[in-house]
Amino acid sequence: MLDLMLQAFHLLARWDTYFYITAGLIVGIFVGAMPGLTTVLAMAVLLPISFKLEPMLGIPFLIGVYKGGIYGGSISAILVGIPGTGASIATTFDGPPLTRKGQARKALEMALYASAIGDIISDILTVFLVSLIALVILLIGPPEIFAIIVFSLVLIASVSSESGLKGGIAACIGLGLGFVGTDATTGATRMTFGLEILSGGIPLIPLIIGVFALPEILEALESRAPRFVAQNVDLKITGERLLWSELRASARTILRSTAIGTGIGVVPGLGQVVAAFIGYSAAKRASPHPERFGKGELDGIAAPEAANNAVNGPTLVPLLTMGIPGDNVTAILLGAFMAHGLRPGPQIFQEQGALIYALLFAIVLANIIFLAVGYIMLKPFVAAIQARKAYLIPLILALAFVGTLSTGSFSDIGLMIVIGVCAYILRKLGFDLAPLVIAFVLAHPIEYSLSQTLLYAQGSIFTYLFIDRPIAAVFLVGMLVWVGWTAYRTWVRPAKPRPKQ
Amino acid sequence: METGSPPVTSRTQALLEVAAAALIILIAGGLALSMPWLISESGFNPIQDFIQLSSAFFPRLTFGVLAVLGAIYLARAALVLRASPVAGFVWWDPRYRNVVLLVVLASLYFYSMPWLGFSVATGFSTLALALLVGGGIWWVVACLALIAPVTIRFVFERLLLISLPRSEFDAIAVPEEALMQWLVRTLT
Repeated sequence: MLDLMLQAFHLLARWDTYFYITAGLIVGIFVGAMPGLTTVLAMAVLLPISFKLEPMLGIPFLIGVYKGGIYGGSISAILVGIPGTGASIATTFDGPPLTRKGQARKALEMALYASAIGDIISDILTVFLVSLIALVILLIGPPEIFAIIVFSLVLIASVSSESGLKGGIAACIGLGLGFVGTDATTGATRMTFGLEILSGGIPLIPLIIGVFALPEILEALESRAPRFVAQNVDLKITGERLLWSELRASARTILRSTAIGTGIGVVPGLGQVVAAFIGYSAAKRASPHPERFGKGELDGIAAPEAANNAVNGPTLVPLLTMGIPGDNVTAILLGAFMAHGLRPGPQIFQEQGALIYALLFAIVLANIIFLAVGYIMLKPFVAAIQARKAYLIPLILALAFVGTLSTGSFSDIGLMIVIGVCAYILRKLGFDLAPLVIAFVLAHPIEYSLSQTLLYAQGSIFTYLFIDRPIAAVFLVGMLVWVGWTAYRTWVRPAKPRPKQ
Repeated sequence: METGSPPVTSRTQALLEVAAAALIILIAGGLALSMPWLISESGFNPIQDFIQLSSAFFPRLTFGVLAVLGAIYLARAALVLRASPVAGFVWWDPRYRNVVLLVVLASLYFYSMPWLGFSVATGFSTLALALLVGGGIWWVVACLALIAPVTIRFVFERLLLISLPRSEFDAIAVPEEALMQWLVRTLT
């Protein structure tokens, strides 16, 4: 492993990787700062750019967009009380009160430092976690892969939407779409309806852009307001800078939130929003002055920001070690890996170990650039909040079209528009579409791993899965318990709403 | 926001959910039942030892589960519909006007691209979209409509090697190509 790490350092010794990380961070913070546009939109539209670059440039570029976007959301959350991304909803509790007190600069700097510290620590932990799992991952075989995929899909579907039912429907639609085209095992073509365009299956790029980018453009047009932030607000960054003593006073909160974010990031399906809320409520419970929370408390900024950024690195653990994307961002990253011929999963450390470690180290180093970019370019990012839709929407639509054209097939644009309109309708009906895309990319692995499991089982599938393969049994039993618990909680004994305090 | 915005009205939402659930049952159930006819066996002989699952197994299972989930969704949506006030129903919410127009515009952009070429089609689409959204300064929009398509074409086609459609008409394609070659000579 040390040999692989040394090779990884060698791969990192090039300036253009850092150039692309910086570019990704700038785009990410810019998009994240605009309420109405999300990090996922930016990643979906820019994904094809990463295909045309080497893996050591394209993947760090996307990771820069991801990291920057999560932080960028806090800028509008603090200044105008509108979260740029879902991850910064909890930041709106204490951000605007601090701005009203004339401490906007302190709040923004606290968000930046807490985000960067949370991200750096969790990324270093990710490298260790991935290295540890990589040592044992080859012990698992197709039955375990099958069980882990099923468990992850059920988990992601049940926690993603307002009801697990809609998440389940979205996941089944994704699986169904994933089965269109040629079956890799038998060579038979499925559900192509005689259309040649579908014989190779539904391509990933039009699906990702259709599901994540087009619905956001359509939603941005629902409001007639010419800007994303309709009201006239004073965006001057006022007040004193954050003092070292204030940052040190929040160190315990930042570390606690980092631990929460890291733990949540490893579990597929939970993500930044959950981490930010848990980080915030944990900080409030632990504070000697909980009454100050919600009225302009710096810990109320540090806690959600450290927690949501600490999720970024660990979400790569299930992706890299088992090939399971835990959320929509990692589903897009999986697309980038696959486009470069890298299939995340147990074998990737054998085949491309040095490259994977180099990418992980680049993610850690990206945080230092993130800190510098966030600090130097704070003012232009603040100006982005009031960008006019008339300039941005046409550009985003054109980029969505160009991105789809990167597949080389013009008709994929039509497919992207159809998928986008369907995705928009599903979103309006309250469906979260992350399970759809995740299930789509897992359709072939789940089928292939079950096929191999059946071959090994030699006719006695239940004995094989539940007795001979204990790891697979743990995940399958866990999945059944989880489904039973969710059904019980939803239909038999729904949680009573708490009385308002 | 990361997730979809809240529904317009409860009655309209409930009706749409009932329709969506019915559609899901219809499509998923139909696909699950007709799966054997939707598969064209043209690869390996399926009776070989190493093939334990038929090509229909997983798609059929998936669409079967989807139909069952759709039925539960329908039952829940029907209950919500029954409880929702009839007065809360609206046929058309004006805020969707721009959404429909954008879909039409995107379709026109798609169909016009092979004729007009990427740059001209993007220029027109930029102007039309800016008008649709409103709130832009006219000369900035005009500059954007001229500069953005050329810049995108140069970056994606010449630097990232993604080929973009050319116009069928020489009057458009030839000057555009000349401009690209000039940009390549000047900037690279």
